Amino acid sequence: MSAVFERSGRVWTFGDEVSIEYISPLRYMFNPDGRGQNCLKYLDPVFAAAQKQGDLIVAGTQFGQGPGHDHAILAIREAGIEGVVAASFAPQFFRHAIVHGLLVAECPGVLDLVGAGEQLTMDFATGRGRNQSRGTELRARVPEGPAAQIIEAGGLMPFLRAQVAAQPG
Amino acid sequence: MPMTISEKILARAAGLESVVPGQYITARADTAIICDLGWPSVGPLFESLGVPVVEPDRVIVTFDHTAPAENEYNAQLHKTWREFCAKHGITRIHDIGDQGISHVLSVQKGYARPGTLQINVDTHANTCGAVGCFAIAMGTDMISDLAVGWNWYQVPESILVHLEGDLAPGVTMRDVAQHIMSDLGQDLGSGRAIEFVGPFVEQATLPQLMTLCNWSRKVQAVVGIVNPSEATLAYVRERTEVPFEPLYSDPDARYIERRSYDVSAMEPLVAAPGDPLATRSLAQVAGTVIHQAFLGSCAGGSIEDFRAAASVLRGKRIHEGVRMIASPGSQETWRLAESEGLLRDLSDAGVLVTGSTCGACYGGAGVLAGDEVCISTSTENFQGRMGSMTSSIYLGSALTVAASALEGRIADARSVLR
Repeated sequence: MSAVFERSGRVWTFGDEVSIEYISPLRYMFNPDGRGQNCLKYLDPVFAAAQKQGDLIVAGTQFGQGPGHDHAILAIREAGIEGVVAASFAPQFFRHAIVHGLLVAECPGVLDLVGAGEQLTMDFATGRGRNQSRGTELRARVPEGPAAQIIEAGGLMPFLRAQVAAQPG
Repeated sequence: MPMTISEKILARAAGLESVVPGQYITARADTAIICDLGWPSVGPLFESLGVPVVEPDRVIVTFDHTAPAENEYNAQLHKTWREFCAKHGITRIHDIGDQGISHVLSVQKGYARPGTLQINVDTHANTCGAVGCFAIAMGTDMISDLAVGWNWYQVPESILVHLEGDLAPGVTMRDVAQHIMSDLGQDLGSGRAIEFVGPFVEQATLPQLMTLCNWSRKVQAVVGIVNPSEATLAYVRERTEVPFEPLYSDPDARYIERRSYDVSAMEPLVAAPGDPLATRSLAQVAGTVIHQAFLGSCAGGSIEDFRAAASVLRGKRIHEGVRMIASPGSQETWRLAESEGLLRDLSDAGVLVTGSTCGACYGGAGVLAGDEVCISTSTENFQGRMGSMTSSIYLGSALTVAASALEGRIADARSVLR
C-alpha cells in the first residue's frame, strides 16, 4: 500500500492540545455549511483564509482532544488538508481520522523536526518522512493491522462496502 | 500471562488467549449504545450499506440529549430512530417516558455488565467502567459493529490508581476525581486505561464510581475501570437476565504507572472556564458572581448528587437573580429523588427540576446568554458549550453548585452547612 499514501505538501503547524472545539466548533456537527473554510479559524486566521489544498498539518501532543465528535475530521479534510503528523493524537480523534480517510502519523517531538511553511513528504503507510526543506528524515508510528486495512480501503465506508459484498448470501 | 482487567476483557471479546498493550485486535462488542443525537454520525451512512443490523439485541438506542423533542429537527430525528429500530428489530429503544442519559441507563438497565465490552457513540462512555465493563466511546466507527459485528481496537496500556482514606465532610467523589485527573494529566492519561483500586474504591457506591470513571475522560483515557465488588455483581444481576462472567486484574499484571492517593486530605475543587483540568481550589474562585447553576449530567445527576444538593438547599431559597436547573440522570433516578422528597426540596428552594435528560450540559434547555456565568456539575466547560461563546462555565460538585446557587456567587458548601 506504500506510495499510494505518500503525501508531499507545505506544512502548517499547531501547538499542543489543540481541541476539536478549535478545529471545528460544535455547531458544524449539525450544519456543515462553512465547515472547511472555518476550520481552525480561531487558532490561525491566516490558515483559514489560505489556499491549502494538498497541504499537511504538523501538531504537538494530544491533537484533537475534547469531546469525541467526528465533524472536526471532516472539517480538516474539507479544508484541503491531506494528512496530519502530530506528536500524539487524542485517541478518539485518531479512530475517527481512520474512519474518514484522513491520513495520520504519530511522531513524538515532531514540532522540533518540521517548521511552519516547510515542505514535508510523509509516507503514511510506513511512517517514513522527509523534511525536504531541511533535508532531514523522520520516523513516525502509523496505524497497523485492521486499522491499516481500513486506511488501505480509503476509509471505513469503502472498507465495509467491500466486507459486506464479500459476505455470503 | 498476567493481564489487567482491561486486557482480559479485550482478549475475551477478541477470542484470544491473551493480548498485550499496543496490539491491534478485532473484537465483538457485547453492547452498542447510540443516543438520539448520534443519528447523523451513524444512521445515514449505515443505511447506505443496505444491510440488516447484526445481532440487533446488542444494540440500545437512548433518547437523552433532546427529550422530549424541542424543535422540529429533533422531532424528526426521534421519528427516524423509531422507524430505524422497528425496521432492524432493535427492541431496546428508550423513548420518551423511559428516557435517560445513555451512560446512566446502561448501568441501571444492566447493559453494562462486568467483564463485557461496551461501545457508545456518546463521549462519556467511560462512566460504565464503574461495574467492571470496558466501555469505550466511538462515533461513526460504530457502523462497523452494526454492519459486520466487530470493530478494531488497540489494546491500551494501563495505569493503576490506588485510593485509600475517607472523605472529609463537604468533600465528594467529584472532588476526588478532579484531584486525580489534574494530577495525572493528559500526557499520562491519554489513550490509556485507568484502573481504580484500593479500600476507598471497594467501599464506594456505584454512583460515586460512575463519577470517578466518567472523569477519566478528562485526561482522554480510553476507559476508567474498576474491578467489580460483590455488591456490584449483585446489583447487575438484579437488572439483567443476560448471564455474565466478571473479570479481574491479576495481582502481577503490568502497569505503566502506579499512583496512590489518600482522599482524606482532599478538598473541594472547581474547574475554571475553558478546560475541565484547569483546577482551582474553592478559595481561588470563591466570590465569582454566577447567573446559573446546573445540577445534572452523567457526571453529576445521580441520586447522591440530588441528595447532596438538597442537603444544602432544604428549607432555603436560592439567591435572587440566580436560576438553578436540576436534571436527574434517568427516570429511575427521578423517581427515587421524588420518593425521597428531594425534588420537592429543590423546587421549594426555587430550583427548576426538569425531566431526566442531558439537559443544560450540552447546551440544551438552560442556554447561557453572552457574558453569563454558570456553575455546573456537568462534564464540559469549553467556550460556548452551554450557549454564548462569551459565557463561562465553572465545574464543581453538587455541594458546591448548590451552595453557589444559595449565595449567588461561587461558595464553599462547608460554610453553608456549618
